[in-house]
Amino acid sequence: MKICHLLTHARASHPTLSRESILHYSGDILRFMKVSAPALLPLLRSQAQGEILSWVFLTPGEHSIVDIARATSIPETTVLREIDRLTATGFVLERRQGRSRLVTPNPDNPATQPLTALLAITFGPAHVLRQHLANLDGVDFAAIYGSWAARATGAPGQPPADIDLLVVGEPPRTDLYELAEDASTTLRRPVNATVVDRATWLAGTDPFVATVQQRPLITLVDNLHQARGA
Amino acid sequence: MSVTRWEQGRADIDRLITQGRLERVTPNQQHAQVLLEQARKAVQSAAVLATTDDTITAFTAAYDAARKALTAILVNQGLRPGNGEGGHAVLREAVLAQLEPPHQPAVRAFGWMRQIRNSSAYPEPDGATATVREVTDAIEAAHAIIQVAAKVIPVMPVYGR
Repeated sequence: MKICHLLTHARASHPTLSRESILHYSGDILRFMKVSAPALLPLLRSQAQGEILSWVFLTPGEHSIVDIARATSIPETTVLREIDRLTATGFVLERRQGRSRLVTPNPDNPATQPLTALLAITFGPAHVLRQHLANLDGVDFAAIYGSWAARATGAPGQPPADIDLLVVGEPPRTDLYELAEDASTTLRRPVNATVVDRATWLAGTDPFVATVQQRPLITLVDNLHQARGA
Repeated sequence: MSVTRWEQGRADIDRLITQGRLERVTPNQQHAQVLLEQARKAVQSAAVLATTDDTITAFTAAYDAARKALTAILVNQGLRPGNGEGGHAVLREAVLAQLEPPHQPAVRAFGWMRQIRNSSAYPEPDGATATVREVTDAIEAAHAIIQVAAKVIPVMPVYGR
């Protein structure tokens, strides 16, 4: 509601109030309505902005306003406003298909790659998987590996279709599998979990382990490191 | 003791049939028993292979044992996976929906087994394949699924009656 409407409405319902006191109250209301910065990445203005950005930059393909609103549960008007800003500043490209506007990250914007990396680390699968793994027993170390980790740490390329999750330790297999299924639903892409026992991981000689250790990893849980330091 | 109508999980089974992920076939308890016998043999073979260094084939045999035991439960009811994708995944979903909680942990294990079977049967370069430990766990899980199947097949009626 705009201030002038607020003022008119307040005067109509409270004719004895002075203009100054009404403006004072409306200032309080506006301060209250101001959204707080997201804890995941306080550089952004709002949680909604982070979720819209991460959906556009981390999900393969083109996205309509309606799709983004549905996927993030954010009102279409808010999505539209953010997309307008991103289009005007060259962060995303858009094309029209019938009445829909379809947007994609602008590959020619030099900020696209580092922004994608930043979003993947904060709002993306790392965040979701960390939350899920917090309730799983027997995890010594967990990380995202494979093409997702490569992309999130700066290697250029298309957004990966699935997420490779490494778990070192002895988690209950069924619980881990079902956790990965839940995360797949949230993230709308398959999450494939692989378990490596602690000794095999520390030895680092198994061909799979050796490959994973040489390539980018996004650490989600690290109890090994703490144990070593203790 | 046998019941005439199986109530647990009906809504899920109806949904899976509507979605085409399950289809109805002629119920066949004899064929279910044949599948169960094949499952027992497969898990024995898995145990033999587990003593060799062919962990992938050992794991695949244990997985097949579990898959056949779950298929046997459905065949006995006059159900089978549809032709589309996810024909193995639906086995777990359909059987799990119909069983009481004491039987569920055994069937739930089919989920992780399927994932490891897929990454072992269709390996990617530098990808993980079944480990010795996973073979041991899969053999144990397959035995548990066979036990559940052996218990429920004689008492589960044809679906839909």
